[in-house]
Amino acid sequence: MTDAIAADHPQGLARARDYLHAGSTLRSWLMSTDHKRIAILYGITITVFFLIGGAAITVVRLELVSPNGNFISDDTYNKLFTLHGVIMVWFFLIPSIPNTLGNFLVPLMIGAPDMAFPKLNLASWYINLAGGLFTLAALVAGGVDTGWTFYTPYSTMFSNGNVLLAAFGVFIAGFSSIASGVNFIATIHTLRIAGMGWMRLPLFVWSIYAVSLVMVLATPVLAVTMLLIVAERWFGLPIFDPAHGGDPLLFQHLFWFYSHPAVYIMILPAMGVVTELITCFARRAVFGYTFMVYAMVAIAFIGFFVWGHHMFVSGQSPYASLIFSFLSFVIAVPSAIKVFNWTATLYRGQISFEAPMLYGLGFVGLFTAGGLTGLFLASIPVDVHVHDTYFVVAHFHYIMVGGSVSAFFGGLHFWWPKITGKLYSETWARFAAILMFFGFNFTFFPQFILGYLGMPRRYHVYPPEFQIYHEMSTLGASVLAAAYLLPPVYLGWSMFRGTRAGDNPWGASGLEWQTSSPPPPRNFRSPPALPDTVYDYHAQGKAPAADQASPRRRDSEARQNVDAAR
Amino acid sequence: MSDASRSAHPATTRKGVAAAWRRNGIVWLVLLALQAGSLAGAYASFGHWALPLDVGIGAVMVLIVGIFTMGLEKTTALNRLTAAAGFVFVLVMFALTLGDVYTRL
Amino acid sequence: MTESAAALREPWTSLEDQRRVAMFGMWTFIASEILFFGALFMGFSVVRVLHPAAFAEAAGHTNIWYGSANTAILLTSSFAMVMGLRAADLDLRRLAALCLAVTAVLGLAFLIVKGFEYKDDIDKHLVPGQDFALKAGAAQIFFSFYWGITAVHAVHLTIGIVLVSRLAWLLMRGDIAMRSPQFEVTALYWGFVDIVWITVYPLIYLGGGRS
Repeated sequence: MTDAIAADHPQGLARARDYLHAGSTLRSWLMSTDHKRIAILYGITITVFFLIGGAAITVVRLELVSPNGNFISDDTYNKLFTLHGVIMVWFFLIPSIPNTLGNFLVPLMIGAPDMAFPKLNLASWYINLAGGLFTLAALVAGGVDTGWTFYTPYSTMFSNGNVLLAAFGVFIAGFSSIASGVNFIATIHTLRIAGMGWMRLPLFVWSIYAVSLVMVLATPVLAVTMLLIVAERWFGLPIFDPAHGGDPLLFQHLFWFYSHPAVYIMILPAMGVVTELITCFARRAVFGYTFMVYAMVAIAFIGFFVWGHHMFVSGQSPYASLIFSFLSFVIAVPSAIKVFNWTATLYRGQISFEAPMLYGLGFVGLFTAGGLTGLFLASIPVDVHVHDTYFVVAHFHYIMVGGSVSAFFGGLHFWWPKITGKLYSETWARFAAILMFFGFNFTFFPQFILGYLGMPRRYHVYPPEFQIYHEMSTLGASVLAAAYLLPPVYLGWSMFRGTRAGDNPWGASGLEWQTSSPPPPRNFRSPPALPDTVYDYHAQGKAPAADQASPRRRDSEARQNVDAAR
Repeated sequence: MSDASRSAHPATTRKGVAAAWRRNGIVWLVLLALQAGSLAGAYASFGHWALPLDVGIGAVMVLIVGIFTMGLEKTTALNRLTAAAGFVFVLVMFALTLGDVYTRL
Repeated sequence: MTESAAALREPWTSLEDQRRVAMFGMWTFIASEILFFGALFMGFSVVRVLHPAAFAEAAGHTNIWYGSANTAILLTSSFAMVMGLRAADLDLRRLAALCLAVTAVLGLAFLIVKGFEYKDDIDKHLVPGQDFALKAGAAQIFFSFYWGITAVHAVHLTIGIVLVSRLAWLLMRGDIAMRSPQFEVTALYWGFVDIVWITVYPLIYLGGGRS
């Protein structure tokens, strides 16, 4: 059957000048099977979840200014950081880049009219929303105090919170991930434009492909884990209960079999985005394309072999710990290859510092810091020292916030002209990008020190000697919050007052820039022309031709020449 | 599947149906026989061999259903690879987890 | 031509491409499902390794006859399913409808036998809890997995029955193109549900020393 809008306005769809004008009713959005509109729907829901998760941690951060915890009860404190974790991981980070930028861009980048299964795409948004509402209901109706990891036996036998509803919400959201993963894999396999071989895919498309593999193969195990919690808690089936001979470590194995690869669900698409940013604003073909592809696939694959490094102090077999530690070091190799290749791409590039590039460069630095501290944690003796301290908190926030969220904002700015057809204020955008970088480091760098000195994570009260670091962190968090609130303002403003963007404001090489901004309902009015190579900027070791510089830079140079001539 | 079979002569269609009954009937009988074998095995005392025997027969049955009922024999290489990927990652999960369970101190 | 057009979906322009991607999508989903059930079986195996004796004793209390009957029923249903698929291939609408109807009825028969088995288990106090029949603690864990795995399988089977009945109904009314990829995709799913049960059968029913 044809999709809902086409059935309503068969003529309107063909005539509409772009996807934003292909129907203005609420129904035309909520029932749309256009991947671009679904991307916008996802964009709206993840923004709401981001604000909720952010609000929760703001209260926590303010509370930690004082060592004695004056404002909220211990119980509320536990519920707030749990809310922050659950919402941010499953309802912001996991769907963030794949389901907004990925949904919008993958068909455009491969020259396809839509995803392979458009209805499934819409269904995945509804499933995600349903899961989110269940989880929110749990958090409103009394809250959950287990932390986002739901460790047994606490979560199943002792916690008084609404673990059931929250676990059920996460269970449901998992199927949204699986549906998206299946859809992306099928789309990338079957809908590439003629002539676009696997080794000519933009690396962002490769990153979405790699991440989809992880989503499809890891998420079902999360679903089972949540199901077993529900079984034990609701039906009273003793599955992990040590009193009956059950094994709480089994829970951790199952949980981390998903949740460690989930880290790569969050970071791989960010790597893809950053590759697009760096190549465009350095005007350079990516250094070592083939190895960038291998590295991404290797990260996705090896990511399944390292989960035990979360369990070094759990009572797991020391032999298993040894193997997991070794494998965790192995996965650093492809990650390092990517960092080296990004820097090598910059070498002799014609770099300009537009806002998306600032986010991209920030990502490379913060991801490197996060990755290197990951190696500390992969080595067993250091992990025993800093396990469950703020060191771990700082480490994974460097990857997830410094890495993924920076890349998300970078990508949002880079493709904003394509998505909305409007240009935002470059000055404000650069200011926000720089502010975000400083705010982030100000917030999380002190936490490395805190953790190394022995401050455990998830504690409500702490010895006064740690207060100075907590105060720095909270101060930094206020800067960070301000930096997050800026883009919605100037991006929102640009939608109504921004100047009209051309089809290709950055002079970028991807197929998505060949169609109009915003794109028409079925993406391309005439089939896009495949460039000679992927990342068709100036080649390695060659000086760029005059017309290959970024359009903005050409403009400013032209202006300088005029000034000089005067 | 192909357009040839669609416009086929009734006699050809009859032959096709007969061949399908025969082929899938044999698969069905083999599966039932294997099941009967594993059921009988549960009543014999194989000691330590009971589990490998049951799992072995089960694996053969899974393979037969996968190849003939689910059509792995005539599907694309990509689909075979996809099915194999599922099993490979289950094996990874079993290997690393049981590795811990068996060597715990 | 018109029949092909009726089965065609956005964004595809040829039915062959659509069939290819539908099958690939289903296989990808099945790979995911393999991990889903794989995780359940792994949980079962870990506790079995930790408590072999209790698990053997508990397995001896499952109802092997209901389990075996259900295995045979499902194997037969898959036979009917493949024949339905082949009949649709050969454009034999009535035979295809009949085979799919038989498939759905056998699926239903499985659930009915399962219902009797559950009742039997409840009567024998094999539901983990206060008045559980067996002494060993881990026997309760065995039965936790028993109830969990069989229930999740039954949910999958119920979805399968709905899908197959719908196709059979559409075939009888002549409302579906014989070339629609839905037949193959549904058959694939049915085969997978069958495979899950084939794995459950030796793990849960045959593990007890019955000799």
